[in-house]
Amino acid sequence: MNYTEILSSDRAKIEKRLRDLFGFNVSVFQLSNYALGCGCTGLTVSPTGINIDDLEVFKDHIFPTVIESAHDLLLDPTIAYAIVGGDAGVSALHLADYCDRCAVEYGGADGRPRPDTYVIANFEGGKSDKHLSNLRSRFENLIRERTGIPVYLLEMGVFALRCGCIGISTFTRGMRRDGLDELLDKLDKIAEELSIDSDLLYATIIPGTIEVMTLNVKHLCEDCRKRYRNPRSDIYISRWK
Amino acid sequence: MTKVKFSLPHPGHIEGLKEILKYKPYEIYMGGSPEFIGTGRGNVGVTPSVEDVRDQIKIIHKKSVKLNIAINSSCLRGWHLTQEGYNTYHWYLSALEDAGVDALTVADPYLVELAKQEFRMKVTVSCIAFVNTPEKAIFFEELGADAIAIDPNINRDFEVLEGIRASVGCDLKVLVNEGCLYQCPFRYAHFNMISHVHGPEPRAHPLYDYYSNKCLALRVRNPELLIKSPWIRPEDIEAYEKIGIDIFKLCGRTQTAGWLNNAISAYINRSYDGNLMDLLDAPREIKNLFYIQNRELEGALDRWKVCNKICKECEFCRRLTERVVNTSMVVEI
Repeated sequence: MNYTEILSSDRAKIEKRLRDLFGFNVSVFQLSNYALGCGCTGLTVSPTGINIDDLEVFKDHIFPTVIESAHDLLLDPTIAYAIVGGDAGVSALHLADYCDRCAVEYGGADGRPRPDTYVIANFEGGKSDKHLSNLRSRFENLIRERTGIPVYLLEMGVFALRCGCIGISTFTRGMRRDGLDELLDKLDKIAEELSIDSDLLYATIIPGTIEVMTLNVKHLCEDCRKRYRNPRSDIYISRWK
Repeated sequence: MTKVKFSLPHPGHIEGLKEILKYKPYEIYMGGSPEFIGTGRGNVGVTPSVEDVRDQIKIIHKKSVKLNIAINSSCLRGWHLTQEGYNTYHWYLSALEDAGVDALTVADPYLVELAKQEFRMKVTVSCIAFVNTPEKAIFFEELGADAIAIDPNINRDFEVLEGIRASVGCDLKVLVNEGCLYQCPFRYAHFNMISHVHGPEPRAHPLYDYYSNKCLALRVRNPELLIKSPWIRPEDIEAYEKIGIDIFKLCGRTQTAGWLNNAISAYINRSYDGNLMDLLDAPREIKNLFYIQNRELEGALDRWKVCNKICKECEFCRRLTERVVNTSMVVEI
């Protein structure tokens, strides 16, 4: 299996595991592998329908599947934590290989560094593959060269959605519209390296402004292909392939 | 070194509280229940109910520390002046007082007066009331303020700070580590947006936080704005004590406990050998992008104290930025 096939297959595997445990109203709408500008890498499981108590009680039944997925993607995590909303619902389960700064910031406080953050487990880890981090750095440098501005690429994430879409999203700070189409083409080259056969290149821009928030390439599922023909006001479509 | 009164941020959960209490501050502050009144910050996870406040206050008072609840929304959408609104706010403030809360931080003048007239809790005027002149400070003191958190925009304007000190007898607080833009053009609009996005229902659900993103983008493109931000270095606290500032308030109640430990230690020790960005309550992306060696900023306050704020003529901050801000803090693998 190639990289995105692993991501899609693991998303389905984790969802199945959660459904076996909690019932059919639970889903995993996204699994993404990310590299951050600070140096962290990780895996995010985005579930719907489970709360923090479910996770605490059943973690020993959930984690082997999620950790297996991390290893499939050559991630060697140092920490597992959940982000919990005001309704106690788990909005994200992260397995991360932390950078030195984040390791300090997320330490202590009996595993509750913030009210919304529950550390579930710590691991020795720390030996993750750096390919995605390299791609993030490479693309950030390219944006800087092209724009002449020290644009910050906060995150590069490769994702598989429940609907069947796969793609790359990158989150920028300080970027404006200049050179957008050319940079999206460059991102598409990176997508090809990750075996993503994209059919849409687009950016999100705060409507009515020049501020670019994300650059994305996607291989769309049938439903989303129709949806993106009439996109939201923040979506700038560079080109269809 | 005298014992400084610190007002420290509390993220709101019991584990965070235990971390903050280690420092035995003068007071700790945390956001109230957004179901009643919002604050100047977003909500992080489960927000503390009145019952949570009651439980936590026992632990806080055991350590002889005061608890201040921030209910400093900049916009109450006029609801506070309706019968229903008055009843709700009155009930909520009564519940906080019954729980043992020592003080409130409010931004709206009406809430200053309501709290003073009908409750015994002390009242701090929030920095979101933008007290930046002796005249405005006198107004709020006459309205009943026990303490005023001064508008950070004048943190480096010692003439005005001294003027405020000479004009009022209430406690004066300065925010030492707010990472906001100097004379931020988004400040009013952003606080209003936060009031409605993180306050009582009905809540808006914006596609993007335009103000926050714009603020970050400006600083990415122009790091000089980081230097001009009105933060106060841990080493410079003494200069503010000398002019009669009573309380030093740290921002950061939406940050992690590990981050708070580092920032609080630096200010309590009045010294930090590292990246100033580690101490500022700013979004992660800005902190990760820049490195500002704190030691290199020694003496800059002396220049800022006499600054006339006409940057085009002076260029001190531009030259300082070139010297001390490292913008190449990029992860190279």
